[in-house]
Amino acid sequence: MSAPGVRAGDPGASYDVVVIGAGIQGLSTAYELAKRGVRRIAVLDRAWPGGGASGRNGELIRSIFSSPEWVGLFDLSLRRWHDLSAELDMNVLFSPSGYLVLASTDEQWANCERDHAYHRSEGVDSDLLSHADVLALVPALNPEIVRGGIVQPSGGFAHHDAVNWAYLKAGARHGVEVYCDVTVTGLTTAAGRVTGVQTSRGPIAAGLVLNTAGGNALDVNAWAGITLPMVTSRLEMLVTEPLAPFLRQGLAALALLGYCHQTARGEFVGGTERHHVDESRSQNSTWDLLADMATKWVSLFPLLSGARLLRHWAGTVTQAADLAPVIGSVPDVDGFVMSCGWVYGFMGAPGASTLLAEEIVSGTPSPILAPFSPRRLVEGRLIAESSLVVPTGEDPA
Amino acid sequence: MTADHSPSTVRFTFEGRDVEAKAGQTLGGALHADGVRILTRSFKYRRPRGYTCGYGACGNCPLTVDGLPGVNACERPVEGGEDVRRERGWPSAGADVFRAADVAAPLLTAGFQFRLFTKTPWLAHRAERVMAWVAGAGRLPAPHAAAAVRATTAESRDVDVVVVGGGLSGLAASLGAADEGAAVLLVHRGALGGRALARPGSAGVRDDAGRSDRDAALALARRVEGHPGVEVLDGTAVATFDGVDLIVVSQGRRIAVTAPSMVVATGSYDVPMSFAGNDKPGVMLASAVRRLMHVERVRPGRRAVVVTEDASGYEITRELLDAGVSVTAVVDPDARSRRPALAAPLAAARVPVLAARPEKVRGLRGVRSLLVRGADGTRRLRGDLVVVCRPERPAEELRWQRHYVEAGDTQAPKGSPTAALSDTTVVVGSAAGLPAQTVQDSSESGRRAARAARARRHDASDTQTP
Amino acid sequence: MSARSDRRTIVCPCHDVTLHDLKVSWERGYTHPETLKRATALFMGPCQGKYCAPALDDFLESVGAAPGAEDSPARPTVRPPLYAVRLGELADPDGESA
Repeated sequence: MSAPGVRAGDPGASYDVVVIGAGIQGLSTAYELAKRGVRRIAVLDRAWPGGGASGRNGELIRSIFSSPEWVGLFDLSLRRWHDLSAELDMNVLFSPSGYLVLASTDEQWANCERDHAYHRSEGVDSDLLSHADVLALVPALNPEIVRGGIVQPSGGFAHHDAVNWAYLKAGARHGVEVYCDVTVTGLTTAAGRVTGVQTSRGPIAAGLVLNTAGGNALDVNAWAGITLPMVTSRLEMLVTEPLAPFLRQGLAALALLGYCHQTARGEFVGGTERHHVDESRSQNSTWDLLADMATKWVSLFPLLSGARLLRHWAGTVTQAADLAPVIGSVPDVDGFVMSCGWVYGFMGAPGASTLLAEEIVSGTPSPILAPFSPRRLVEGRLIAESSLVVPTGEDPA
Repeated sequence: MTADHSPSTVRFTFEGRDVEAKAGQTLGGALHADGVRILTRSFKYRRPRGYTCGYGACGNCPLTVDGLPGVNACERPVEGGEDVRRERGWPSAGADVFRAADVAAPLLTAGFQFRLFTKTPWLAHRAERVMAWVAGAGRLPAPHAAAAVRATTAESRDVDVVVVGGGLSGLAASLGAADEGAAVLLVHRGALGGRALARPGSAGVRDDAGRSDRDAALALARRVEGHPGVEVLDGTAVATFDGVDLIVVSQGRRIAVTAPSMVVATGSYDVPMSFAGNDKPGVMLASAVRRLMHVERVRPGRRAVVVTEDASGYEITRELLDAGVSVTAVVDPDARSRRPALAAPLAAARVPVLAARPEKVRGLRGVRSLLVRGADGTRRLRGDLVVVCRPERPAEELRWQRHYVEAGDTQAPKGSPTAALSDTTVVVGSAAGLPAQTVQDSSESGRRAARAARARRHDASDTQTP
Repeated sequence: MSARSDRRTIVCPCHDVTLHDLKVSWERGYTHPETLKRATALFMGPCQGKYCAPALDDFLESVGAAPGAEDSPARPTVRPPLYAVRLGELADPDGESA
């Protein structure tokens, strides 16, 4: 037991589906499967539910991306977000306060113009903002860093712990068995098929194993004999003391490689990236990033210079070169589905879990999920999405 | 207060009126002397809060000073001319209409926000905006105040031993390391000597010369300041990281320190007690009471009830009486079984010792009385001050951080961090759970840290290829 | 101790978490320091656990969950900073980092 809905005792000997990782992908997909009638589902986690990236992320939610693949998946997800509290019967503090993408250079502004036109054509709500428009929305911004931007009025943020708990409880109500302090140590395979997992509490047979192990997903793939061009990387964030409301929207600042918002408690939460990918599996935070975040956030919001830092933490994710999630199965390995490589996993989970569960239960591939298949990485069909604020590991132009 | 002819007083403005402070006092001490008992209103229920711990660890005394919120009153020396205001509370922290939230407390229990408005998203969104406005309480750094906080230099320092904490054991360890030949950087917030400065009375348990903690600390501080091998930084230790042993912010300077060895001398925290009304102004931890009496030179209250779980409550009662505070009673659940000998001297001072437990503080804006329950029922003890005495708890945070760095991950297997630390991280004094560690032993620990640093440097140079 | 008394007993002054809140959260199933922290906001205020950690210890002891054992950590992960310094003190002095 560590959260409501988690089972005491040991997992059973066999299940229809074993989900590795009680983060948002695992918990939401388990719930969606149970909702569709899958009976015996176990979710296993080595620590507490939502203890990985699902409980450490920036909590932002949007669908104003620049590619049909991303818009297809994330817009569906955004629509789910609007009804999630009602469906899960828990207020996940989803706040549709708007999501603002901030352009600081002429090039970024040109991208915003182009993206905005694309959004309109796809029916995604998006407003183009001039320098003055942005400052009218967020007066606390440093005007020197503002060229313009895009805002998605229906985007925003939610409370990550609440979402994880809500999916957990809703799944439990549908019979999902969630076990914590259970470490998966390997997979059992037979004749090209994954047949179960080995754990710190003994082996468990499974009709299907779902890899939603977040920062540990590549280990699990390796046990299945699957090697994909993906890396594990570390991201960091900080939070300040509560302040009077000065930022209503979720905000992504392209020039800072940063994203932030102000919570319902008034705390400013934000993370930034360096230009290189931090390929580390450690959840220790670093001085390099603390200095980077402090410098960048103070430059963007000068008042933050006087705000007290309360916490600085790190989390790990796995990522492909195109930073898009890796969802689906690979040929020659049956009984195994992955939903990993999530860098934008928090906002994408409600949509992806719905589609993936539907795909698993019906056997019919989802056209929205298809572009995110692991096969794209092997076949070199990376998705070109330009509206991201996480470095891809390439030097800036 | 007796007439004070000390030559230096400073004045500051508190919510529009002049307050006089003695030189060397903190805002918290000066306001306490001025009779201000409510320093802030709490985050959710807007309960009145006052001077509680005395060392910036309880969150109960944040003031807005010259436009900058979140300044801990108990730690901020008065410089003169400041504009000081309390935070939260409308029309003022002294009388806050939002105290009504306290009445609605049963509806606002932890997690209430996850259970409200689940089926009505638009209402949830409105409620969240209201919550944010209430939570934020108008606290925002003024532009000039925020700009003034900026660090002016970014420096690095490479030394042999970095000592975090300049209390009694940190001072002793610094001297031990420096005497062993190490280049030592000592980081400390406030006056060297730390909380030992507030212990003038106790006979020397820790000092082999038999001096009181305060006298020993002052003597060690003088030696440290004069020692060529020790550099003292008056600043705040921020964190330890892989590759950067300590980040320090000190008076506009941001300093990245690398050192093969670290001495953790972060001391300990006082431990609160759980009883109804335990957060009201006038309920103070032992360190706060000592600080007010011995460092701020302010009487902590007029009439005290001392609640204790160890011998320290008896010692502090003696100090209170000497400071002119009357003591209604000492409340000690184990009075009869464990500490009858300690009660005898108090009997001479007509201070009853009750074998009872604290149950409830009464008083709307501060302590008026304390209800206690013993074998013979409930009694009401009148007073404006409740002193809470419990065995202290090590300030463990830095030790844990070093453990994470050495283990490579915060999620490394747990177990006792003391067992897991390498020999280049040495923990001394109450931070190590040794509140009575002698100066000699702390000094020896400093020597060990110096030797480990030397060995580490030696190994590093050995592995370097020419 | 009655529930009414528990509601007036503050275990976390930073976020006004009461002993009642702690008990109710535990009974609801938040039985790990990391989840108790997130469910109640204990450890999440300006003191970052300096004041409330012993209250959690006392509480865990009272419900029979022995703190400090190998697999049951008594407190949530310690995070930087050790003390709530201001962002301006940590930012690069000469402006934006490269």
